[in-house]
Amino acid sequence: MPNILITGGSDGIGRALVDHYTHAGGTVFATGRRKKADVSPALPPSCHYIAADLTQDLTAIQAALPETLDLAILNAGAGRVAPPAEHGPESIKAMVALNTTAPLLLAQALYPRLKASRGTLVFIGSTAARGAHKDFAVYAATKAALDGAYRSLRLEWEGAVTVLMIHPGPTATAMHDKAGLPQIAARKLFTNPATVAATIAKAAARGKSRRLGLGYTLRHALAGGRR
Amino acid sequence: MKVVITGAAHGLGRALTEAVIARGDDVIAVDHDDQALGQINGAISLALDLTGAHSADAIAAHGPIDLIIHCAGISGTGPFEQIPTDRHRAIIALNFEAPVQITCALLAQGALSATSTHAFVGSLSTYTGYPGAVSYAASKDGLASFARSLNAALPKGQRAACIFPGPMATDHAARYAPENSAKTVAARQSPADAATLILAALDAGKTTIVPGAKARALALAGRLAPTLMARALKKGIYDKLSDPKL
Repeated sequence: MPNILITGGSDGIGRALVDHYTHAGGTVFATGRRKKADVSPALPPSCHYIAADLTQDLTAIQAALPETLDLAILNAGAGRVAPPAEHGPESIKAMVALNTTAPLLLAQALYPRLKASRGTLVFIGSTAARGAHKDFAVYAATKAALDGAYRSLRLEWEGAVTVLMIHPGPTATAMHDKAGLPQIAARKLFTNPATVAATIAKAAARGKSRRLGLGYTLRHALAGGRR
Repeated sequence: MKVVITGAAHGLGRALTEAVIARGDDVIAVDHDDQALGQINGAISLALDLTGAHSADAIAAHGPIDLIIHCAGISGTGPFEQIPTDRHRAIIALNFEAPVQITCALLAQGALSATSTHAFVGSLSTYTGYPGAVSYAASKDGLASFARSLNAALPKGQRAACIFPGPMATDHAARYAPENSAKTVAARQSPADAATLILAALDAGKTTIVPGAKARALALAGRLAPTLMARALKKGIYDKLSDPKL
Protein backbone atom coordinates (compact mmCIF):
# COMPACT_ATOMS: atom_id res chain seq x y z
CA MET A 1 0.00 0.00 0.00
CA PRO A 2 1.44 3.38 -0.96
CA ASN A 3 2.17 5.95 1.74
CA ILE A 4 0.50 9.25 0.96
CA LEU A 5 0.78 12.62 2.71
CA ILE A 6 -1.88 15.27 2.20
CA THR A 7 -1.47 18.66 3.88
CA GLY A 8 -4.58 20.63 4.73
CA GLY A 9 -6.45 17.35 4.84
CA SER A 10 -9.23 18.31 7.24
CA ASP A 11 -11.25 20.39 4.80
CA GLY A 12 -11.94 21.24 1.17
CA ILE A 13 -9.86 19.72 -1.62
CA GLY A 14 -7.49 18.13 0.91
CA ARG A 15 -10.34 16.37 2.67
CA ALA A 16 -11.66 15.10 -0.68
CA LEU A 17 -8.15 13.81 -1.46
CA VAL A 18 -8.08 11.97 1.88
CA ASP A 19 -11.34 10.24 0.98
CA HIS A 20 -10.13 9.47 -2.54
CA TYR A 21 -6.86 7.85 -1.51
CA THR A 22 -8.32 6.03 1.50
CA HIS A 23 -10.94 4.54 -0.78
CA ALA A 24 -8.21 3.55 -3.25
CA GLY A 25 -6.45 1.62 -0.48
CA GLY A 26 -3.56 3.95 0.35
CA THR A 27 -2.09 4.58 3.78
CA VAL A 28 -3.03 8.21 4.23
CA PHE A 29 -1.36 10.75 6.49
CA ALA A 30 -3.24 14.04 6.69
CA THR A 31 -2.18 17.27 8.35
CA GLY A 32 -4.42 20.04 9.64
CA ARG A 33 -4.24 22.88 12.11
CA ARG A 34 -7.21 21.76 14.18
CA LYS A 35 -6.89 19.42 17.17
CA LYS A 36 -7.00 15.69 16.51
CA ALA A 37 -10.06 15.20 18.74
CA ASP A 38 -12.02 17.73 16.67
CA VAL A 39 -11.13 16.36 13.25
CA SER A 40 -10.48 12.64 13.61
CA PRO A 41 -14.10 11.46 14.14
CA ALA A 42 -15.06 12.83 10.73
CA LEU A 43 -12.05 11.36 8.87
CA PRO A 44 -11.88 7.78 7.55
CA PRO A 45 -10.81 5.53 10.48
CA SER A 46 -7.63 4.37 8.71
CA CYS A 47 -6.37 7.95 8.13
CA HIS A 48 -3.44 9.08 10.30
CA TYR A 49 -4.19 12.66 11.30
CA ILE A 50 -1.29 14.94 12.27
CA ALA A 51 -2.30 18.14 14.04
CA ALA A 52 0.38 20.63 13.01
CA ASP A 53 0.85 24.22 11.92
CA LEU A 54 2.97 23.98 8.75
CA THR A 55 4.28 27.50 9.23
CA GLN A 56 5.96 26.44 12.47
CA ASP A 57 8.45 23.71 13.25
CA LEU A 58 8.20 20.72 10.89
CA THR A 59 9.84 18.18 13.19
CA ALA A 60 6.53 16.98 14.68
CA ILE A 61 5.21 16.18 11.21
CA GLN A 62 8.39 14.41 10.23
CA ALA A 63 8.31 12.33 13.41
CA ALA A 64 4.79 11.16 12.56
CA LEU A 65 5.65 10.09 9.00
CA PRO A 66 6.90 6.72 7.73
CA GLU A 67 10.42 6.39 6.30
CA THR A 68 9.26 6.45 2.71
CA LEU A 69 6.52 8.41 0.98
CA ASP A 70 5.14 7.52 -2.44
CA LEU A 71 3.12 10.67 -2.82
CA ALA A 72 2.97 14.02 -1.03
CA ILE A 73 0.27 16.52 -1.98
CA LEU A 74 1.05 19.94 -0.52
CA ASN A 75 -2.43 21.34 -0.55
CA ALA A 76 -2.73 23.49 2.60
CA GLY A 77 -3.35 27.13 1.74
CA ALA A 78 -5.30 30.22 2.67
CA GLY A 79 -6.61 33.23 0.82
CA ARG A 80 -7.96 36.65 1.61
CA VAL A 81 -10.01 38.88 -0.63
CA ALA A 82 -8.95 42.49 -0.07
CA PRO A 83 -7.38 45.28 -2.11
CA PRO A 84 -3.65 45.73 -1.36
CA ALA A 85 -4.18 48.82 0.82
CA GLU A 86 -6.51 46.90 3.13
CA HIS A 87 -4.25 43.96 3.93
CA GLY A 88 -2.73 44.20 7.37
CA PRO A 89 0.88 43.05 7.77
CA GLU A 90 -0.25 39.95 9.69
CA SER A 91 -2.54 38.81 6.89
CA ILE A 92 0.27 39.15 4.31
CA LYS A 93 2.73 37.37 6.59
CA ALA A 94 0.32 34.49 7.18
CA MET A 95 -0.42 34.00 3.48
CA VAL A 96 3.24 34.05 2.42
CA ALA A 97 4.11 31.67 5.26
CA LEU A 98 1.40 29.12 4.50
CA ASN A 99 1.13 29.34 0.71
CA THR A 100 4.77 29.87 -0.29
CA THR A 101 7.34 29.24 2.45
CA ALA A 102 5.69 26.21 4.08
CA PRO A 103 5.39 24.08 0.91
CA LEU A 104 8.99 24.93 -0.05
CA LEU A 105 10.39 23.93 3.34
CA LEU A 106 8.15 20.89 3.55
CA ALA A 107 9.29 19.77 0.09
CA GLN A 108 12.86 20.07 1.31
CA ALA A 109 12.10 18.14 4.50
CA LEU A 110 10.29 15.37 2.61
CA TYR A 111 12.97 14.92 -0.05
CA PRO A 112 14.73 11.87 1.49
CA ARG A 113 11.40 10.07 2.02
CA LEU A 114 10.22 10.77 -1.49
CA LYS A 115 13.55 9.95 -3.08
CA ALA A 116 13.66 6.61 -1.27
CA SER A 117 10.58 5.45 -3.17
CA ARG A 118 11.12 7.57 -6.32
CA GLY A 119 7.90 9.20 -5.30
CA THR A 120 5.83 12.13 -6.50
CA LEU A 121 5.49 15.59 -4.98
CA VAL A 122 2.43 17.61 -5.95
CA PHE A 123 2.15 21.33 -5.24
CA ILE A 124 -1.37 22.71 -5.23
CA GLY A 125 -1.35 26.20 -6.74
CA SER A 126 -4.25 28.19 -8.14
CA THR A 127 -5.34 29.39 -11.56
CA ALA A 128 -4.97 32.84 -9.96
CA ALA A 129 -1.19 32.43 -10.29
CA ARG A 130 -1.64 33.74 -13.84
CA GLY A 131 -3.15 37.06 -14.82
CA ALA A 132 -3.91 40.14 -12.72
CA HIS A 133 -6.22 40.07 -9.69
CA LYS A 134 -6.90 43.39 -8.03
CA ASP A 135 -8.84 41.99 -5.08
CA PHE A 136 -6.54 39.10 -4.29
CA ALA A 137 -3.18 40.38 -5.44
CA VAL A 138 -1.35 38.95 -2.44
CA TYR A 139 -2.92 35.48 -2.63
CA ALA A 140 -2.25 35.27 -6.38
CA ALA A 141 1.37 36.33 -5.82
CA THR A 142 1.94 33.65 -3.16
CA LYS A 143 0.69 31.00 -5.60
CA ALA A 144 2.71 32.45 -8.50
CA ALA A 145 5.77 32.19 -6.28
CA LEU A 146 5.04 28.52 -5.68
CA ASP A 147 4.71 28.02 -9.42
CA GLY A 148 8.11 29.65 -9.90
CA ALA A 149 9.63 27.20 -7.44
CA TYR A 150 7.95 24.25 -9.16
CA ARG A 151 9.22 25.09 -12.67
CA SER A 152 12.84 24.96 -11.51
CA LEU A 153 12.57 22.24 -8.85
CA ARG A 154 11.04 19.71 -11.23
CA LEU A 155 14.23 19.85 -13.29
CA GLU A 156 16.52 19.69 -10.26
CA TRP A 157 14.80 16.57 -8.94
CA GLU A 158 14.24 14.91 -12.31
CA GLY A 159 15.06 11.21 -12.02
CA ALA A 160 14.77 11.25 -8.22
CA VAL A 161 11.36 12.73 -7.39
CA THR A 162 8.59 13.65 -9.84
CA VAL A 163 7.51 17.21 -9.06
CA LEU A 164 4.09 18.31 -10.29
CA MET A 165 1.96 21.43 -10.06
CA ILE A 166 -1.81 21.38 -10.19
CA HIS A 167 -3.57 24.74 -10.41
CA PRO A 168 -7.20 24.23 -9.37
CA GLY A 169 -9.77 26.77 -10.50
CA PRO A 170 -12.57 27.97 -8.25
CA THR A 171 -13.69 25.04 -6.10
CA ALA A 172 -16.68 24.87 -3.75
CA THR A 173 -14.77 24.79 -0.46
CA ALA A 174 -14.85 26.77 2.78
CA MET A 175 -11.76 28.73 1.64
CA HIS A 176 -13.86 31.35 -0.13
CA ASP A 177 -15.92 32.11 2.98
CA LYS A 178 -12.76 32.27 5.08
CA ALA A 179 -11.23 34.53 2.43
CA GLY A 180 -14.19 36.89 2.56
CA LEU A 181 -15.55 36.27 -0.94
CA PRO A 182 -19.20 37.41 -1.10
CA GLN A 183 -21.95 34.93 -2.06
CA ILE A 184 -21.91 35.87 -5.72
CA ALA A 185 -24.03 33.88 -8.19
CA ALA A 186 -20.90 32.58 -9.97
CA ARG A 187 -20.14 30.46 -6.92
CA LYS A 188 -22.85 28.07 -8.10
CA LEU A 189 -20.45 27.15 -10.91
CA PHE A 190 -17.52 26.32 -8.61
CA THR A 191 -16.32 22.74 -8.99
CA ASN A 192 -17.10 20.09 -6.40
CA PRO A 193 -13.96 19.25 -4.32
CA ALA A 194 -14.44 15.50 -4.96
CA THR A 195 -14.25 16.13 -8.71
CA VAL A 196 -11.09 18.22 -8.30
CA ALA A 197 -9.58 15.54 -6.04
CA ALA A 198 -10.21 12.87 -8.67
CA THR A 199 -8.58 15.07 -11.31
CA ILE A 200 -5.54 15.67 -9.06
CA ALA A 201 -5.19 11.93 -8.37
CA LYS A 202 -5.34 11.14 -12.08
CA ALA A 203 -2.74 13.78 -12.90
CA ALA A 204 -0.46 12.55 -10.09
CA ALA A 205 -0.73 8.95 -11.34
CA ARG A 206 0.17 10.05 -14.87
CA GLY A 207 2.95 12.38 -13.71
CA LYS A 208 1.37 15.35 -15.50
CA SER A 209 0.99 18.90 -14.19
CA ARG A 210 -2.35 20.55 -14.89
CA ARG A 211 -4.11 23.89 -14.88
CA LEU A 212 -7.85 23.48 -14.28
CA GLY A 213 -8.90 26.58 -16.18
CA LEU A 214 -12.22 28.07 -17.16
CA GLY A 215 -12.99 25.23 -19.62
CA TYR A 216 -12.61 22.67 -16.83
CA THR A 217 -14.79 24.67 -14.44
CA LEU A 218 -17.57 25.19 -16.99
CA ARG A 219 -17.49 21.59 -18.21
CA HIS A 220 -17.96 20.27 -14.69
CA ALA A 221 -20.55 22.93 -13.85
CA LEU A 222 -22.58 21.74 -16.86
CA ALA A 223 -22.10 18.07 -16.00
CA GLY A 224 -23.18 18.83 -12.42
CA GLY A 225 -26.30 20.60 -13.69
CA ARG A 226 -27.34 17.53 -15.68
CA ARG A 227 -27.05 15.14 -12.75
CA MET B 1 10.81 63.94 -8.08
CA LYS B 2 11.21 61.94 -4.87
CA VAL B 3 12.67 58.49 -5.42
CA VAL B 4 13.15 55.62 -2.93
CA ILE B 5 15.50 52.80 -3.90
CA THR B 6 15.98 49.70 -1.77
CA GLY B 7 19.18 47.69 -1.97
CA ALA B 8 20.81 50.99 -2.93
CA ALA B 9 24.30 50.26 -1.67
CA HIS B 10 25.40 47.62 -4.17
CA GLY B 11 24.96 46.30 -7.68
CA LEU B 12 21.98 47.35 -9.75
CA GLY B 13 20.48 49.30 -6.83
CA ARG B 14 23.66 51.34 -6.53
CA ALA B 15 23.71 52.04 -10.26
CA LEU B 16 20.06 53.11 -10.22
CA THR B 17 20.71 55.32 -7.19
CA GLU B 18 23.67 57.05 -8.82
CA ALA B 19 21.70 57.57 -12.03
CA VAL B 20 18.73 59.23 -10.29
CA ILE B 21 21.06 61.39 -8.19
CA ALA B 22 22.80 62.47 -11.38
CA ARG B 23 19.54 63.58 -12.95
CA GLY B 24 18.73 65.70 -9.92
CA ASP B 25 16.03 63.72 -8.12
CA ASP B 26 15.54 63.75 -4.33
CA VAL B 27 16.77 60.27 -3.44
CA ILE B 28 16.26 58.13 -0.37
CA ALA B 29 18.81 55.32 -0.52
CA VAL B 30 17.77 52.31 1.57
CA ASP B 31 20.04 49.42 2.47
CA HIS B 32 21.02 47.29 5.45
CA ASP B 33 24.69 48.02 4.75
CA ASP B 34 25.03 51.49 6.32
CA GLN B 35 28.78 51.67 5.68
CA ALA B 36 28.33 51.27 1.94
CA LEU B 37 25.41 53.72 2.03
CA GLY B 38 27.80 56.28 3.53
CA GLN B 39 29.82 56.26 0.30
CA ILE B 40 26.87 57.57 -1.72
CA ASN B 41 26.84 61.35 -2.08
CA GLY B 42 23.70 63.31 -2.78
CA ALA B 43 21.10 61.00 -1.26
CA ILE B 44 19.42 60.63 2.12
CA SER B 45 20.69 57.38 3.63
CA LEU B 46 18.21 55.11 5.35
CA ALA B 47 19.83 52.06 6.97
CA LEU B 48 17.13 49.44 7.38
CA ASP B 49 16.47 45.76 7.58
CA LEU B 50 13.58 45.64 5.11
CA THR B 51 12.14 42.50 6.70
CA GLY B 52 11.70 44.32 10.02
CA ALA B 53 8.23 45.30 11.23
CA HIS B 54 8.91 49.06 11.01
CA SER B 55 10.64 49.30 7.65
CA ALA B 56 7.50 50.52 5.85
CA ASP B 57 6.93 53.25 8.45
CA ALA B 58 10.53 54.42 8.11
CA ILE B 59 10.10 54.70 4.33
CA ALA B 60 6.61 56.23 4.57
CA ALA B 61 8.03 59.01 6.76
CA HIS B 62 9.77 60.31 3.61
CA GLY B 63 6.54 60.52 1.58
CA PRO B 64 4.93 61.54 -0.67
CA ILE B 65 7.01 59.24 -2.89
CA ASP B 66 6.92 59.54 -6.69
CA LEU B 67 8.94 56.44 -7.53
CA ILE B 68 9.94 53.48 -5.40
CA ILE B 69 12.23 50.83 -6.84
CA HIS B 70 12.28 47.60 -4.85
CA CYS B 71 15.73 46.33 -5.76
CA ALA B 72 17.00 44.70 -2.55
CA GLY B 73 17.46 40.99 -2.98
CA ILE B 74 19.55 37.99 -2.03
CA SER B 75 19.91 34.54 -3.49
CA GLY B 76 21.30 31.16 -2.63
CA THR B 77 22.33 28.73 -5.34
CA GLY B 78 22.88 25.00 -5.29
CA PRO B 79 20.75 21.87 -4.98
CA PHE B 80 17.47 22.93 -3.38
CA GLU B 81 17.60 20.24 -0.70
CA GLN B 82 21.13 21.26 0.35
CA ILE B 83 20.51 24.97 0.84
CA PRO B 84 19.89 25.69 4.55
CA THR B 85 16.25 26.12 5.51
CA ASP B 86 16.96 29.54 7.00
CA ARG B 87 18.37 30.70 3.67
CA HIS B 88 15.20 29.68 1.83
CA ARG B 89 13.20 31.57 4.46
CA ALA B 90 15.41 34.65 4.18
CA ILE B 91 15.17 34.73 0.38
CA ILE B 92 11.37 34.62 0.42
CA ALA B 93 11.23 37.17 3.26
CA LEU B 94 13.50 39.80 1.70
CA ASN B 95 12.88 39.34 -2.02
CA PHE B 96 9.15 38.70 -1.95
CA GLU B 97 7.37 39.41 1.31
CA ALA B 98 9.16 42.67 2.15
CA PRO B 99 8.25 44.50 -1.09
CA VAL B 100 4.64 43.29 -0.79
CA GLN B 101 4.45 44.41 2.85
CA ILE B 102 6.03 47.78 2.11
CA THR B 103 3.80 48.42 -0.91
CA CYS B 104 0.60 47.60 0.97
CA ALA B 105 1.69 49.72 3.95
CA LEU B 106 2.63 52.70 1.77
CA LEU B 107 -0.77 52.50 0.07
CA ALA B 108 -2.57 52.20 3.41
CA GLN B 109 -0.67 55.18 4.81
CA GLY B 110 -1.13 57.35 1.73
CA ALA B 111 2.62 57.89 1.48
CA LEU B 112 2.62 58.01 -2.32
CA SER B 113 2.07 60.88 -4.72
CA ALA B 114 -0.98 60.76 -7.02
CA THR B 115 1.17 59.76 -10.00
CA SER B 116 3.60 57.45 -8.24
CA THR B 117 5.26 54.41 -9.77
CA HIS B 118 6.01 51.15 -7.94
CA ALA B 119 8.86 49.32 -9.64
CA PHE B 120 9.84 45.79 -8.65
CA VAL B 121 13.10 44.19 -9.67
CA GLY B 122 12.18 40.67 -10.68
CA SER B 123 14.34 38.33 -12.68
CA LEU B 124 14.58 36.91 -16.16
CA SER B 125 14.03 33.58 -14.40
CA THR B 126 10.29 34.24 -14.72
CA TYR B 127 10.77 33.54 -18.44
CA THR B 128 13.59 31.02 -18.30
CA GLY B 129 13.32 29.13 -15.00
CA TYR B 130 16.37 28.89 -12.74
CA PRO B 131 17.36 25.37 -11.61
CA GLY B 132 19.86 25.88 -8.81
CA ALA B 133 17.99 28.85 -7.34
CA VAL B 134 14.51 27.50 -6.65
CA SER B 135 13.54 29.82 -3.81
CA TYR B 136 15.03 32.82 -5.62
CA ALA B 137 12.98 31.97 -8.73
CA ALA B 138 9.92 31.60 -6.48
CA SER B 139 10.46 35.00 -4.88
CA LYS B 140 10.83 36.73 -8.25
CA ASP B 141 7.77 35.06 -9.81
CA GLY B 142 5.80 36.19 -6.78
CA LEU B 143 6.92 39.77 -7.38
CA ALA B 144 6.03 39.66 -11.06
CA SER B 145 2.53 38.44 -10.25
CA PHE B 146 2.13 41.05 -7.51
CA ALA B 147 3.19 43.86 -9.86
CA ARG B 148 0.63 42.70 -12.45
CA SER B 149 -2.22 42.58 -9.94
CA LEU B 150 -1.14 45.81 -8.28
CA ASN B 151 -1.29 47.59 -11.61
CA ALA B 152 -4.95 46.61 -11.83
CA ALA B 153 -5.64 47.58 -8.21
CA LEU B 154 -3.90 50.95 -7.97
CA PRO B 155 -5.83 54.22 -8.02
CA LYS B 156 -5.84 55.97 -11.42
CA GLY B 157 -2.56 57.77 -11.97
CA GLN B 158 -0.40 55.28 -10.08
CA ARG B 159 1.40 52.50 -11.85
CA ALA B 160 3.26 49.27 -11.08
CA ALA B 161 6.11 47.95 -13.20
CA CYS B 162 8.19 44.81 -13.07
CA ILE B 163 11.77 44.71 -14.30
CA PHE B 164 13.22 41.41 -15.50
CA PRO B 165 17.00 41.85 -15.66
CA GLY B 166 19.17 39.18 -17.19
CA PRO B 167 22.65 38.23 -16.00
CA MET B 168 24.66 41.27 -14.89
CA ALA B 169 28.25 41.93 -13.87
CA THR B 170 27.54 42.55 -10.19
CA ASP B 171 29.02 41.26 -6.93
CA HIS B 172 25.66 39.63 -6.25
CA ALA B 173 25.84 37.63 -9.49
CA ALA B 174 29.49 36.65 -8.96
CA ARG B 175 28.73 35.40 -5.48
CA TYR B 176 26.07 32.95 -6.61
CA ALA B 177 27.64 31.84 -9.89
CA PRO B 178 29.48 28.51 -10.30
CA GLU B 179 33.24 28.42 -9.63
CA ASN B 180 35.61 29.59 -12.36
CA SER B 181 32.98 31.74 -14.01
CA ALA B 182 34.53 35.12 -13.13
CA LYS B 183 35.25 35.82 -16.80
CA THR B 184 31.67 35.02 -17.84
CA VAL B 185 30.31 37.27 -15.12
CA ALA B 186 32.62 40.16 -16.06
CA ALA B 187 31.48 39.98 -19.71
CA ARG B 188 27.83 40.51 -18.77
CA GLN B 189 25.74 43.68 -18.95
CA SER B 190 27.05 46.34 -16.56
CA PRO B 191 24.64 47.51 -13.86
CA ALA B 192 25.10 51.10 -15.08
CA ASP B 193 23.91 50.16 -18.59
CA ALA B 194 20.97 48.24 -17.15
CA ALA B 195 20.08 51.20 -14.90
CA THR B 196 20.01 53.61 -17.87
CA LEU B 197 17.70 51.31 -19.83
CA ILE B 198 15.44 50.70 -16.82
CA LEU B 199 15.01 54.39 -15.98
CA ALA B 200 14.26 55.25 -19.62
CA ALA B 201 11.62 52.51 -19.75
CA LEU B 202 10.06 53.68 -16.46
CA ASP B 203 9.95 57.26 -17.80
CA ALA B 204 8.22 55.95 -20.92
CA GLY B 205 5.53 54.39 -18.74
CA LYS B 206 6.40 50.77 -19.49
CA THR B 207 5.14 48.20 -16.99
CA THR B 208 7.06 45.14 -18.25
CA ILE B 209 10.74 45.96 -18.59
CA VAL B 210 13.36 43.55 -19.93
CA PRO B 211 16.54 45.65 -20.13
CA GLY B 212 18.81 45.04 -23.12
CA ALA B 213 18.71 43.06 -26.35
CA LYS B 214 20.40 40.01 -24.86
CA ALA B 215 17.93 39.77 -21.97
CA ARG B 216 15.03 40.25 -24.41
CA ALA B 217 16.33 37.45 -26.63
CA LEU B 218 16.61 35.12 -23.62
CA ALA B 219 13.11 36.09 -22.46
CA LEU B 220 11.71 35.35 -25.92
CA ALA B 221 13.48 32.00 -26.09
CA GLY B 222 12.10 31.16 -22.64
CA ARG B 223 8.57 32.08 -23.70
CA LEU B 224 8.75 30.02 -26.88
CA ALA B 225 10.40 26.95 -25.35
CA PRO B 226 10.27 27.20 -21.55
CA THR B 227 11.38 23.64 -20.79
CA LEU B 228 14.19 23.67 -23.33
CA MET B 229 15.43 26.97 -21.92
CA ALA B 230 15.24 25.79 -18.30
CA ARG B 231 17.12 22.63 -19.26
CA ALA B 232 19.85 24.71 -20.89
CA LEU B 233 20.15 26.74 -17.68
CA LYS B 234 20.27 23.54 -15.66
CA LYS B 235 23.22 22.40 -17.73
CA GLY B 236 24.90 25.79 -17.70
CA ILE B 237 24.45 26.62 -14.03
CA TYR B 238 23.00 23.91 -11.82
CA ASP B 239 25.21 21.08 -13.05
CA LYS B 240 28.31 23.25 -12.50
CA LEU B 241 27.52 24.24 -8.92
CA SER B 242 29.55 21.95 -6.70
CA ASP B 243 28.48 23.39 -3.32
CA PRO B 244 25.66 25.69 -2.27
CA LYS B 245 26.59 29.37 -2.66
CA LEU B 246 25.05 31.50 0.06
